[in-house]
Amino acid sequence: MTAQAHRARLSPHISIRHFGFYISAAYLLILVVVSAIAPWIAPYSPTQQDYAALLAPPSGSHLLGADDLGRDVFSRLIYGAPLTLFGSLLAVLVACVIGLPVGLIAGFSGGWIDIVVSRVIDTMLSFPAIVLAIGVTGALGVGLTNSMIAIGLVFSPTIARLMRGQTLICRSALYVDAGRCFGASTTRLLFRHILPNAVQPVIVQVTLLLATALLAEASLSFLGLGVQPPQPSWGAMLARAYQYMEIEPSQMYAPGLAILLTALAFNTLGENLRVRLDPTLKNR
Amino acid sequence: MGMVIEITPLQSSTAGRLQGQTDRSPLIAVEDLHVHFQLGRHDVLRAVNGVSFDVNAGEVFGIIGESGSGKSTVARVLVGLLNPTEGTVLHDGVVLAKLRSREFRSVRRGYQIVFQDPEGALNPRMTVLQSVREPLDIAGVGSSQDRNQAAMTCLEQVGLGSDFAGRYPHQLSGGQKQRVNIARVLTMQPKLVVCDEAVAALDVSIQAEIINLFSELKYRLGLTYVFISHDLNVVAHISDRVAVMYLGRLVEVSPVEQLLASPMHPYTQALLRSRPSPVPASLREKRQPALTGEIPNAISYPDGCAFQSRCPQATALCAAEVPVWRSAESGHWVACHFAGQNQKTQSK
Repeated sequence: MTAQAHRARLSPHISIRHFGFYISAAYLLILVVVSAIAPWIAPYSPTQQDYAALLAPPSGSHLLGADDLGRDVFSRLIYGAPLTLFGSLLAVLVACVIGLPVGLIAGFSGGWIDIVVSRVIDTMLSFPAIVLAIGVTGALGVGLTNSMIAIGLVFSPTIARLMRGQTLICRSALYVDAGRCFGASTTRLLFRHILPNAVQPVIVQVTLLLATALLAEASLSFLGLGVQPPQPSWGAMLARAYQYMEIEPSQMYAPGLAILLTALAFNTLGENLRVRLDPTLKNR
Repeated sequence: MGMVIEITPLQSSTAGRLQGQTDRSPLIAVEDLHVHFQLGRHDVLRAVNGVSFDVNAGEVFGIIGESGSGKSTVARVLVGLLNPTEGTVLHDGVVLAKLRSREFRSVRRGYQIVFQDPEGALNPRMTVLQSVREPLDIAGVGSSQDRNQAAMTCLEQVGLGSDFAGRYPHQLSGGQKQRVNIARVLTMQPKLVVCDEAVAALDVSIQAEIINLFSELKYRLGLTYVFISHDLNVVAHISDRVAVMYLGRLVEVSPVEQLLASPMHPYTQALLRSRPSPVPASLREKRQPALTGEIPNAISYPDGCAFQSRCPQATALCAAEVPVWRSAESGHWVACHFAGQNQKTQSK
């Protein structure tokens, strides 16, 4: 088969992949812009109550309806975007800041350091995530920032374990031995050869965690540990709507869909990022 | 083989110091090298168990042996990737293990290795040019432009044009990848290049190309090789002297012509017999059967001669004593109690 024919056969697959990437990127970009200009585009204040529209279905005056206190759902969704995004990013950032170096060091140094770190990771993973998060939030104090730091801590062993495993694989790679023969320092081996190769699966894991963090934020807010009322976050909105599920189930659609789409966009973006970052997967 | 060979046992004080024919001090002097790996609490794997040889500047020293014989372990010691458990290795008179970190890193640049797996030896995320110039980046030679220039020159020397510079390893064939590895090694202007099964992973036609490239580079740049392979034909083709390795020990060291013409160790003889010959079966000489069984594992290491379990001529003496080195012709050494009298002993 000629190269051209080969490319033609592959092209539909590639274009679908790119389509998903652009849609996700565009969606997240819009979300960021909306977060930045929320006060100017939201039709109402997120805390303004309209007693004539308690649990109102979507209408001309309330595009996505109003909640049990008569607050405009569309406006709360817009105001909730920056809080929700900030929350997930913070959680994943904390997880990476702790997990990546710990995993890298454990995997590279081996020996007793690795044994101790691995046991600590196992211990942390053996707790149910939400219980651990509640415990940490209890220690740090309630609120969005603290609860997301707690979630980050809970996620960090996942990142650390993945990073450790990948580092173990890359540490014994032949190109690391080759680097040693050229007199490369340990720092160079770590950051030039091991890290770039070991971190790839972690990138995908990070995007999955972004989505999980969205849902974890919802859970903690549901339990009253996350965002404090009347601040709107999507998780808190979903939790509140859940209480009125039997009366007005449509209340859950807007925040639920927002969380779903954002999680989906993060995942699609992560998968594409992995493919784009891996030279062996592009230009085949 | 009607040749009469005079056997003179070697004095034990100099045991194992197997020099070539030159008087110059050797580039590499390996003396009673042991590399043992601790496996679990009680088991020790004796990968290399008392190996001594010299490599002179400008020669090609071949090491042949089957898998598990410890060839690759020797290779790794020669380039400083492993430290000897016992014994000394002198690199141009220097003991690498005694150098301090910074010094060690600069001295080791003179001793390079080409690995068996050309793909694994290249970082998949670096382009050919990045990989080839990396040693120069580490050494901090000249400006960035100089390094690019030097890397391109080395790529040309291995027959890869400038259009390969921007490619990634996965876009290259096995032979091309191995050429990149060789180019990268050349940037360091090494005193010694260890080729550890450097052609074993390649197609036969590509093997020939790469071996020719090695020979060409040797004459052009005056390189010294330690050429390690399980393939007798490959080693015989390129080497000046050959060492035969079995279960962590050398059993015979000899200039290549003498080894092929008059192998003295039963293991070497068996290896030569097992060589496929390009002659129809009906015209071939009647052969003695090839070796049976497999190389014993190096954990339960035998007393006495390493080869006793598969040797057709083994006696009680072989199980009790490690054979000392004997010299036949100049530069031809063998470690066998019955070297040179094999056939006679058997017929008695």
